[in-house]
Amino acid sequence: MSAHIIDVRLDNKSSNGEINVRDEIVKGLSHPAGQKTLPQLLLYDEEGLRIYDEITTQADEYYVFPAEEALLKRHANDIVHIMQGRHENKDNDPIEGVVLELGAGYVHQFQGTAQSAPVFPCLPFMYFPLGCVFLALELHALSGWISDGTGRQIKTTFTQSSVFIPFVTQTSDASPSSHIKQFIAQDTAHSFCALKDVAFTNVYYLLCVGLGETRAGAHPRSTRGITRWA
Amino acid sequence: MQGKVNTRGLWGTFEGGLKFVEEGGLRGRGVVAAAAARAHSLSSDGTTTLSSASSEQDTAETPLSTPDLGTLETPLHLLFLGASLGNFSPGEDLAFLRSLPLRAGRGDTLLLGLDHTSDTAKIERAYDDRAGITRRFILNGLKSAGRALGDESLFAPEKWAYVSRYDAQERKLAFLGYRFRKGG
Repeated sequence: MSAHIIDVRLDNKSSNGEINVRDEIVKGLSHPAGQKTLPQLLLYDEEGLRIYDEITTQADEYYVFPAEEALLKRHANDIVHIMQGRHENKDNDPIEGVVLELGAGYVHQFQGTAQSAPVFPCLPFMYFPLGCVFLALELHALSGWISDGTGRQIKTTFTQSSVFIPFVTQTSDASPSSHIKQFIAQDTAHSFCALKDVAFTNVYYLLCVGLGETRAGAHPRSTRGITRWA
Repeated sequence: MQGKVNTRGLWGTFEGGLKFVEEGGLRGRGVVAAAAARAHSLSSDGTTTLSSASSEQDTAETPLSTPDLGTLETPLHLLFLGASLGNFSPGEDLAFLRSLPLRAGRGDTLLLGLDHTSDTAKIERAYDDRAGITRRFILNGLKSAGRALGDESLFAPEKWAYVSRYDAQERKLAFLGYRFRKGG
């Protein structure tokens, strides 16, 4: 399989960080002491991408990558079940789909065998890694989106220091074409509150959100073999 | 897996990639229709050259002008891994999630990798490995910053200290400190 790279950069170069990075540097360094920043974009030049690759494969202390990799491997079937959605009860009916990974890193050397692809062994997916550069030189180690603002408790079983929480939505049939902005704003906004309100600590987890299927004959399904709430 | 997964790289920022999706760039890119994209081949220096062999397919596969993601026939599955959402500031993160071109009711899914580690020492160690790889990664950013301003050696590495400092209150990780010389 040959590798193809599609250039999706915008015509507006500043959106790609190509011309305003100088302004960003000056602006970031003009902040008061202790608050100075440099654009994160600067980290991802050719050399930076190469070093980043080393971090994920050789820096033992960088727990994020192996934690995630273990989850992907352990829960590959769970994830695929959710992705298959409506098709799970049909007899091995393969479905097509497009998998788009945001921030896949080093697309310049992309060889057509993306690391994440083996996670989805049984789906004839089209896999799009999107190499991106973005944002500022800081990182919030905590990001969370899955508490339940309605007072319901999240019932899931923690094993070791990882957890996979499938979140299967029950979207209303009235909005088959709505985007996730409405989805989050209306249907399940309560489920996307900040995780700081939940007593999770020291876990790395994957959240799989299924946006449901409202075509004829479709109805919310349970997902076999995995804990589910919603 | 051979023949079941076709792969194409997209080169650009999140903004560019998501615009590509929203304008129907993924149309007809299911396995059946998956021939070469409007492929640009990248030369080793990172510049873009249009592959001459793809010019005909280019015509055939260039998305129609209708900016309608709804024309994507198959479910779209977005992966946002590596706790990258944490790179956004509070508020921006939710805004970004909301901006994702996912369609309710079409079987689309979103797979998010999230980190809720709260062990400060563990976090700081994660970004300050013994082998010094992350240190090199961050210091390379200084070279890059200098280059952007016209002089690669502008931010001399020896004047900078590498730190990995996590602020649990703000949930922010900071790198780099500037070494001020004593006695000017």
